[in-house]
Amino acid sequence: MIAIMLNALPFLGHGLLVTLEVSLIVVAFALLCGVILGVGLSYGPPWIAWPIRLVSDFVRGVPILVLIFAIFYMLPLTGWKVNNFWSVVVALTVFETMHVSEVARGAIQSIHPGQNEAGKSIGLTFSQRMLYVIFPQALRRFLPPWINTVVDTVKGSALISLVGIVDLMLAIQQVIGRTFKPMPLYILGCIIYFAINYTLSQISRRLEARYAYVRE
Amino acid sequence: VRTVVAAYVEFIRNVPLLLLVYVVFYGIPSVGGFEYSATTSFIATLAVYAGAYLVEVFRAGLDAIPKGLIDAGRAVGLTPFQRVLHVQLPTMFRIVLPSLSNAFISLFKDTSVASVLAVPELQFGANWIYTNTFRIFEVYAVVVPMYVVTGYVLLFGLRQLERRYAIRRR
Repeated sequence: MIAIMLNALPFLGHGLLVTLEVSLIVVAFALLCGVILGVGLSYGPPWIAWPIRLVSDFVRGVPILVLIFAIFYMLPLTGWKVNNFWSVVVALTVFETMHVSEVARGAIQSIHPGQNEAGKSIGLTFSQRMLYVIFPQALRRFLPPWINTVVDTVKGSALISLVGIVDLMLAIQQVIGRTFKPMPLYILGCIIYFAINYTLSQISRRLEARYAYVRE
Repeated sequence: VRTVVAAYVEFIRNVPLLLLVYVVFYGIPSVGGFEYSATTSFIATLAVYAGAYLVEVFRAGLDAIPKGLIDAGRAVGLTPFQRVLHVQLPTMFRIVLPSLSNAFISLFKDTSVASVLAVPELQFGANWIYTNTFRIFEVYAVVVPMYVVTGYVLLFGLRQLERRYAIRRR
């Protein structure tokens, strides 16, 4: 069993890289867009906040698998020529962005409104208030749940194998297709995914413990 | 017991559902020498998967029970078993209800993964119609709202339940 795992390892490297690459791109874009939308949700006027709320509730109400298929098949209909890779990246990014925006909203709204008013009263502009007053305080509320969304991204990225992108999951399936020994390969896959995600979860837990002492 | 449960929770929460689905449907029968239907296997997988999340929910709920309640139970002479049954469990359920409904909504969404085993659920139906008609836009224009609407009906029902059993603080 161990021998089968070791033999398979070289064939999984590329897949693992694709999984990590997709996760990394998605996490980066989702972080950027999610924080912007989160600020829009918390401080935007109704005509900004409402559409975000609507889209966010809609996207979070759809299973990620359905979203991946829908975007994978529908993007080409808009006449935009994208390859498989980017269409799933778009799907995962949209999904994770909405989750990150909710996390950001929660973190921002947990800051006492007095902080924002204090910033206003000493004449800071909106972006200065965000940058120097709100974000540094919201960060500790933001990080632990945000890392949970990163874990969800890595787990969700396994679903892209279903549209034919050779990520870790599909690489495992391909090796099984040649060796007809599913169990060792699946166990190996579990170990690899577990190693990635458990590390992330531990970081999240560490951060949570570290920031827990601050009580308002 | 504690270590075993912790290992189960950590393992399940850090592995993709898709991989678990494959393990249960293709992996275990190949070693065990028995077979079961796709639906059975998926239900079992999802139960194990969601179970791990619920363990966390209930653990947080038990932690959140005010110590005074348990002490009060002890003070009126309830046995440990009675304390669990009449004090801790009812309080825990009221505390965890909101997280519980979130977990159930995720569970509902995760059922779409069953389509990879050709379990005839909504996503599989969508794919089937697509491969037979190539009318992709229409299919997803119907399927996506179906998920959203069902999800929100579920959520609405659960919120009603929450409101009814919410702990009112004075």
